[in-house]
Amino acid sequence: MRRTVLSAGLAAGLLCLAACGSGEDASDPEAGGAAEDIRIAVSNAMTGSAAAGTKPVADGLTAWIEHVNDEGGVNGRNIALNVQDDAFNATQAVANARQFITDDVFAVLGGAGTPTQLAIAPLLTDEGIPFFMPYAGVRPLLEPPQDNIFSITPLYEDEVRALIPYALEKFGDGSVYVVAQRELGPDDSIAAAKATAEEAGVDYAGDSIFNLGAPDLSALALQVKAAAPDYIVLLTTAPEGSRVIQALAAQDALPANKILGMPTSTANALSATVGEQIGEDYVALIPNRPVTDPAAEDCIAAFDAASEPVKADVTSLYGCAMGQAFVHALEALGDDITQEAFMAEVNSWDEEEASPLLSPLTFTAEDRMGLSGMFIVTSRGTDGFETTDTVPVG
Amino acid sequence: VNLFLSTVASGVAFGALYGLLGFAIVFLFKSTGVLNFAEGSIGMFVAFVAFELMRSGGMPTWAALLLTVPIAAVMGVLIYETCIRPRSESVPHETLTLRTIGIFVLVVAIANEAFSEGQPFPFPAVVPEFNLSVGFLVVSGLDLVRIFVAAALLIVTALFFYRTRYGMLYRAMADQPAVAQLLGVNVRALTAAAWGATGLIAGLVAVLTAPTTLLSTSMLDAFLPYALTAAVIGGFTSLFGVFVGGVIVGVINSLTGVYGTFDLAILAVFAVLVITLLFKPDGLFGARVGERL
Repeated sequence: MRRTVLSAGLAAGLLCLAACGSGEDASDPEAGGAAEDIRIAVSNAMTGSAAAGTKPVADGLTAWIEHVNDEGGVNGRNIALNVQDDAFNATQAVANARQFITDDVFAVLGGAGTPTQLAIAPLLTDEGIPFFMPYAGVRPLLEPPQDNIFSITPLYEDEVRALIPYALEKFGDGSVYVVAQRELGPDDSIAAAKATAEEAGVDYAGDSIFNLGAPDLSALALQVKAAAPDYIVLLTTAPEGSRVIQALAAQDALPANKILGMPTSTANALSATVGEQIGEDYVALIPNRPVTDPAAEDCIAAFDAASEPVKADVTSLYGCAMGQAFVHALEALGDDITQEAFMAEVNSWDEEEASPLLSPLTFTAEDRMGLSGMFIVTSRGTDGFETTDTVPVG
Repeated sequence: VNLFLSTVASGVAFGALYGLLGFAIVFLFKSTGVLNFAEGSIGMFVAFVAFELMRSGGMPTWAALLLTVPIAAVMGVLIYETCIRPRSESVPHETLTLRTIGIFVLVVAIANEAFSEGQPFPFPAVVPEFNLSVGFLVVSGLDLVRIFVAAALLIVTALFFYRTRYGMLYRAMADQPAVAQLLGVNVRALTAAAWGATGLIAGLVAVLTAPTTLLSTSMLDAFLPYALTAAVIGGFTSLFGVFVGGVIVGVINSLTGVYGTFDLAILAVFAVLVITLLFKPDGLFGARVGERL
């Protein structure tokens, strides 16, 4: 009797499996086509306190992918982009990445968010999934070098080493102060700022580290005011950078010369919020050209034509540049679109013009940060930023 | 000395905000026995409504803020009538307090869906921008307004609770709700009014805070622990004490932030909270509440 029941159960299970398997094909006429899609994914902060500076990255990428699909895809195949919100939360980002692995995605493209991108990188490396252009400039993404990680964000400390000498040379000598957000892992950047100031023969006036969402930033502003620096290096997200500048302005504590912004703090969300306070005294280093550059035209056209139009700004253009570079690599593969071929292709890039918005890209086995130069932008009050110069990084 | 004075002034101004939010929490707790964890989110939502009236509705700042005042009160009453009052007769206050955590999550989720795109936003101050500068010391007009509002609210509510019939009814309701009801006190109407009043205060806190912190759906999240700490230090049953607690929290936070680090500031504030709970659990001005078994 027991054997009969067992056999019946087994048979029912097999029948169910067969039905489920065949049911998918039968009920979804697009299934064959869907299997041909190149599935990629992004874990990005779409909501929460950092979203104003991070959401545009995913929006810009989405608009460019939509444009590529509208133009016939890549070698006849569409790209299916899955954007998952991590709300700048590393735990949620890891959950997203696990889902991406289960979904067997072709590649994960870089969302914005230092703690989140840092958290998912080891998972993707373990699975051999390409991690293309994570928007975070921290050492664990680049060292030890992993052949699946392709970054175009230099280490924050390298950006500091490039930005401070540039400012001192361009705008004159002066003391340097660092205001940094804890979540961006600022210790190495602060050490770099101190060393760079000392090498340049200027005073290092000090540093303040605060936590995301700290309710009262006036104490920070008073620390800065007491130090009276000529330059402030702002290592924050854009929304937190806005709050810092607001607090500095309220205490008459803005620097005598310039605020030196990092890519993480430089978004139009910042100029829209505190543009009046910064005027033209915010100079920043960013990986891609800004809206005012003619090279941005294709992206802006794609943004306007998107099913959900995207506002063109520094960060949405980063997302677009990422999409352009990704598609550029796919196009070179022809019909051989495999993860191995993709990684081999990008790893072979040597001064590759992968996107008009980026400087040429080079990836080697040792150096996983491919960008050869960054763009200096200057704030134009509430009207965003303009490219004013370029500097080599790396 | 200048830096010290500026730090204390800044601490007092922010302490007034912690005190105000704590006041809304204590007011409701004292009146109804419910600890409202959603107070900050209600304030945030109200500030966004004011912002939308200005941005999309094209209203001048004063008109938007004036219109928002009754909206805040209505929102408080609505939350009470829809989320707190139903099936509340037979459940303890702790259960209703847990409901406020759900309300907090709900309000933030709705605000995220409706308002968060592009945040944070600059929010106009309720007073024209001006700074009183004496050497290094800068006190903004907004800081003065915060301190004034806190002081005015304290005086008005003290008069209300101890000099009016309704104030006495509230106190009776908080101490012995069942007895108060038996004596003919309209508990439902008074409780709804308390929710309306604290919604209004939360809205006030938000519009006084947003010009400095910028307007975002998380703008008051970090305020709540500080406001609760202010209430514990001052005494959960003392409307006066919560303001003193707020100023203590604000000044400790500022001084340790400026002369130490921001991590140390957080540690110092919550160390004071723990020490208060250990050695003076009723707070500086709170009264011990006895319960008949």
